[in-house]
Amino acid sequence: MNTIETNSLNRTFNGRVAVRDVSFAVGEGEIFGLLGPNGAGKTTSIRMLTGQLRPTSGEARVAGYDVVRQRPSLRSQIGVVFEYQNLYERMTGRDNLFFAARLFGCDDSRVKAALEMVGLENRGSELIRNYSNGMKQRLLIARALIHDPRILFLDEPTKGLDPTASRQIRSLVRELAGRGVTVLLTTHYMEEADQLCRHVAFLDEGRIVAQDTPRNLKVAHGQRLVRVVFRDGREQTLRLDDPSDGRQLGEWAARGELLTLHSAEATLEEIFIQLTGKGLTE
Amino acid sequence: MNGRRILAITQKDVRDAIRNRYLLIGLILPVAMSLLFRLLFTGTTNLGTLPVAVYDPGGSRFTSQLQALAQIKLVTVDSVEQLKEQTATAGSAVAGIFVPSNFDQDIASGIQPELTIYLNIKKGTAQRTAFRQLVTQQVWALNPAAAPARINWSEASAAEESPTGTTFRVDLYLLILLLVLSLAMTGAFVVPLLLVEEKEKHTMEFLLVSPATSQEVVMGKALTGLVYSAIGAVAMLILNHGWMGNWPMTILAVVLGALFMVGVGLLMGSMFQTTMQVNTWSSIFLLLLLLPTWFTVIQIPPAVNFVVRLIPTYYLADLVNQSLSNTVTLSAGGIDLGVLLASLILIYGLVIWILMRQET
Repeated sequence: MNTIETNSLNRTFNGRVAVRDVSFAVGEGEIFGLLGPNGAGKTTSIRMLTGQLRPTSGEARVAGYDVVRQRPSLRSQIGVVFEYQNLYERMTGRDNLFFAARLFGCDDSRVKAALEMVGLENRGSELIRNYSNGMKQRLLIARALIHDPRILFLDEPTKGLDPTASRQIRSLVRELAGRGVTVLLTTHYMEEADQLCRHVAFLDEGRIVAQDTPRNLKVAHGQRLVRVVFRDGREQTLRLDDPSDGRQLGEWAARGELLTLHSAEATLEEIFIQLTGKGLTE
Repeated sequence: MNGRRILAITQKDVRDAIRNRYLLIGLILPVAMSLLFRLLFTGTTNLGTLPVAVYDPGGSRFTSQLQALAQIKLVTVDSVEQLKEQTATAGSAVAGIFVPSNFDQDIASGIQPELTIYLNIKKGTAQRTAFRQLVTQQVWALNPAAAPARINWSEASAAEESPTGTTFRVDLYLLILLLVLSLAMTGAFVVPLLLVEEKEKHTMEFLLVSPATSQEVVMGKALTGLVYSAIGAVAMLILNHGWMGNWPMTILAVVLGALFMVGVGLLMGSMFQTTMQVNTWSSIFLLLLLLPTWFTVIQIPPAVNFVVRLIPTYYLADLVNQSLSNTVTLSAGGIDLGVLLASLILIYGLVIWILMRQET
């Protein structure tokens, strides 16, 4: 069963097209990635799906609710982590969550549970301005989950974080999906999408240029290559689809000449460049 | 509309002000100015004993009350002429009081008798203001439930005349000015910042994906503005002995004034996106809103007077003036109330219209 479904979503701003004919579906408990460079339409798509922005045309249903006509019902079903770390800086972490709990009509006991879930139970009484970026990001996730939503939207969740903090966030996202929460994330870090997402969609200039599982995209758009490193230091790349290369690899292995073998399949980033002719930072 | 969500937003903002130095300055500044003016103009602690002449042929309770005050040294005289001598420029008294012979009986029978008070213009403003306050307090003490007597500060050479010919009271003018300033500071400076900061820090986006609607957010901010206004106005009235005259009307005027100023703040907050815009425009709005209170003492050409009357704070200042001096009339007070109510409808209508346009 799909928890997010979009059908030909379009959005223009003063005649400029930001999102064009976007259609995709996300299953329950799935992590879905919208990938693309800055300005590709990722944030606009999330804003439409979370009821912050009205689509110019097309329709979308999230948790079974129409994002335009049933916005009030939709809000209790979704949690949103924004691209900006939009916490109340002069308040403590705990007070930020208490405020969110009151807005969502949740019991105050949810605050303790949310802080524990993101590992901030001992830092809740500190002011946000004293938090590191990683701590703020974890608190944003805790705030988005305070009312136990079915769907979590994450807009660039690891942007600007150090590798350790990014790893913590990714681990948290996996844990949530394991508990049945559907996650839609946007990112321009392709490695992150590759590690986390069951399905991804490439967005470029507001359009989806490809969507599938990362594996299928690599198979469809990449070459099946293996890089061989010999004991004497030489390196060679072989085609797995070529029978003669396969036989050659077997002979080297039998003679004990091989040091290591590396998969040389295309990365998501290379596929994106192949499909759009531009990199993710353009 | 959900009251719990509105209250949650208000509670968050009221607490947040303690840690926000800009908001704190906006709230404290008018009260601090009030304290400063009070020290400058109405300080009574270092004035010593005020010499006052009294002519009281009937031996009233009022004179006995004055005699019991440590701040006043009463000199009894035998005629109005002697009173005038004592308060002439060469005289030693700060003021002279003529109490009519049937003063106590008139008060008892509900007739407002008239006290005539002559002020000595050669004495300092601080002494005369302190004397005015003492006399006003003592008159009200005769019957706190209703204005027991009229006070006629009628000596032309002694009283300060306003352009309209009515007696000008420094303390009353300052109270009106500071009260309007306090409400305007909250409205034109604090309330827009509450909204604009949410936009600048992107916390507004969080509020709008929560179950709170934009109307609830605005209501929460308006309520915060009213709480701040109430604190400022109450502090101002207490510090300046504002519980005089027709105080229920004063409270009504302050509530309407606070609602109007908060409406102005919400309008600014809906239109502006940055703190810098608020800081720039709030000074201009503040000057405009305060303009009518200045012209209560400066004579202005009819054309300027017409323009000033287009600013709703003119009617607020006028209503507060009437209520504090206990001279509210059905016609003048009614016009003030009517204009204030119409301004409220107009400004809140505008705020709602802008919000509806900004929705997605």
